[in-house]
Amino acid sequence: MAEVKWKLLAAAVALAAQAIPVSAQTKAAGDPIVVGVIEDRSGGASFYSQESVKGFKLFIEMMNNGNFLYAKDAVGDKPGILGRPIQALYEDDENNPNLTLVKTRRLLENGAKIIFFLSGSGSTLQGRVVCSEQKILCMAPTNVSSRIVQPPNNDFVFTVASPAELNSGVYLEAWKKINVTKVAYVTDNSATAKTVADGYKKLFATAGITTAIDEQVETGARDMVAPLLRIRDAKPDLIFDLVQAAPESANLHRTAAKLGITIPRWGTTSITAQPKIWELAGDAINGVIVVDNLAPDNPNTLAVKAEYQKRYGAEAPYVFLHSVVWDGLMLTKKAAESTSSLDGTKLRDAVEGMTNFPSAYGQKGYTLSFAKDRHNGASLPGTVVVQFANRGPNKLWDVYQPK
Amino acid sequence: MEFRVLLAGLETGAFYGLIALGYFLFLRATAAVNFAVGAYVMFAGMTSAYLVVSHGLPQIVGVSAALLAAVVLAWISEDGILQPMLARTRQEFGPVMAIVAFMFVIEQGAGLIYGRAPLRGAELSDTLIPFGDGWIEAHDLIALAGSVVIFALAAAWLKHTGYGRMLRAVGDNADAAQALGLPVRRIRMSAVIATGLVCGAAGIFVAPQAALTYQSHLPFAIMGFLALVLGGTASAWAPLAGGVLLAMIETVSARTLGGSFRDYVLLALVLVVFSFRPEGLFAIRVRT
Repeated sequence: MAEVKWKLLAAAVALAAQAIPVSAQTKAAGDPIVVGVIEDRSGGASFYSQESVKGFKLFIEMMNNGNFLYAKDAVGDKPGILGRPIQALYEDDENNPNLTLVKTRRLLENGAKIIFFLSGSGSTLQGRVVCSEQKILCMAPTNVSSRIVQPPNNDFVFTVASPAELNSGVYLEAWKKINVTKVAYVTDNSATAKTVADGYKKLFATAGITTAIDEQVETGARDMVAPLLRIRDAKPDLIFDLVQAAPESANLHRTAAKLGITIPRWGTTSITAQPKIWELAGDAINGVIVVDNLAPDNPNTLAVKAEYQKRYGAEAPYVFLHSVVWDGLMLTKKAAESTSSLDGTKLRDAVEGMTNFPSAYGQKGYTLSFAKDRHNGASLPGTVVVQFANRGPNKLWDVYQPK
Repeated sequence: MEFRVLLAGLETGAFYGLIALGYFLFLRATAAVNFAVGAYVMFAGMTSAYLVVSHGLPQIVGVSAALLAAVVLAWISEDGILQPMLARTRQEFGPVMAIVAFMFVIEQGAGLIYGRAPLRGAELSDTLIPFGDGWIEAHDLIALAGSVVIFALAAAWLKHTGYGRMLRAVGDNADAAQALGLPVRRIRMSAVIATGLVCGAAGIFVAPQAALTYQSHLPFAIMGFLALVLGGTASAWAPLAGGVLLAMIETVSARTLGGSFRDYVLLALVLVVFSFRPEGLFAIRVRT
């Protein structure tokens, strides 16, 4: 009888011990740390901005629950940031750079200690001014414009995805393999498209690629026949799709298929980042080649992808945006934990000191490294060349892969 | 001219023409320029796409719901906004601005109901007709032919039916028409319903051609208005003439000069029309 009593008591103590300390260990507690998010809910960048936000919401929930997957070796397993829960505040800038400044300031007024820019590159170029003024750590993990981390006003902003500058090197190497010298560009008239397109075109021109034709389509354009016929007449080696908005990009590829244009079509991560383009373009998207950031054998990518699809469904497209948002959050946590602070200058210095940080994108074993004069942590193994097949970026391009 | 450019111009022109016809019918009935017609088109197209593509309902359900939605929106514009305002004021500015405000209400409503992501509708026929190295979509030809039929019906209605013939009298002076014993309210409502049906059809035609978002209505409203200004208001065919002319100039200039010149070409066209023929290509001649 006494033995039974002891057993019951031991079981009760074990249960109590499990119930109380476990919840204390795995859930963040205390005053929340406010992270401000600039998103685009309604403008031209909304199609990819909302993909990023979808990932962001899940990842801060995971962080608050102490679930850091493979990254716990780098960032520790203390839930949230500094053991405190993360609370996100969102502002919609409509991908309008003029609004980004105001909205970023509003986030800071409402208590944000860190800012995440998840809108277009054009927006971040404006918003980063506030980061410098207020000395606040700003992450723009999804933006690919190299200008964001170039002076002026670049001292508190970091990017994670491989920038246009790095990607363009991969395009150039790939194009060498298939003897491309003359490219047709198609872009739209949004601020972000212009920023991204100017970056790529300048880099390609410097490398000796000539412009066969440079076509601009109106945002909201209904008909793409005329620009595509002009492109066909210019006889380029390939068409480079720099259109950022999903409906127009999809329409471009559908019309190319309808006109029977067989010129190879290449594009930017804007295409791989927006599953809506794949859906709207249907079979016409097949064959398009993109320098992307997701390799099929990176275990870190697969770990984050598994969590994402556990939440949003097995068929939910997982794109590089999700990986870079995760990386941005992990870098932020690491900076805060290593300095035990939320001071912007200390956080900035901590990120600048990070090297070989394990990433959720890129090739297997790929890491991010930053420095005082290097606020984008990407390098060549962060890229892969993918080709669309079966209405998705499902195939590695068999001609060339960066090493 | 290349056949592809001609076809693209005609398809786009017929679409602009339908929106202009929506303006025209509403204008005839109420003497008000209804900038919300683009929003009716967008809402109808998104309704059809949402029901058929996103929810797998039969095409007939999507088409019916799209037409009904556009008619209801047109009815709200007339009975819920225009008439109550006109009962209080004879100034035109207030009611027109109220209609513009309603246009943005429709925009946000579409965003709330159908989401912010673009929707592409289902083709009325998914047949692909081989042409050159590619194909022509049967849906595009159906939309083109359907638009012409709608114009023919509108023209016949205005010319050969009592309500159609009385419509202009009501639009010009509703009080005088009332005094003469015309069934003003019923005539106006028939034109408002016709506006909704025309815009609904335009939405059904365009949704599979270009994915629609809740913000698609503004370019529709602008291009439809330009088509009306170009074509004039002499008959139901005038908006079609304006739409086709506008789209042909747009498409041919995009083909020859490039897309970045589009805005300059359209601006120049509007300036020329306003300067030399502000009444449009086809205007009603009134003997004095």
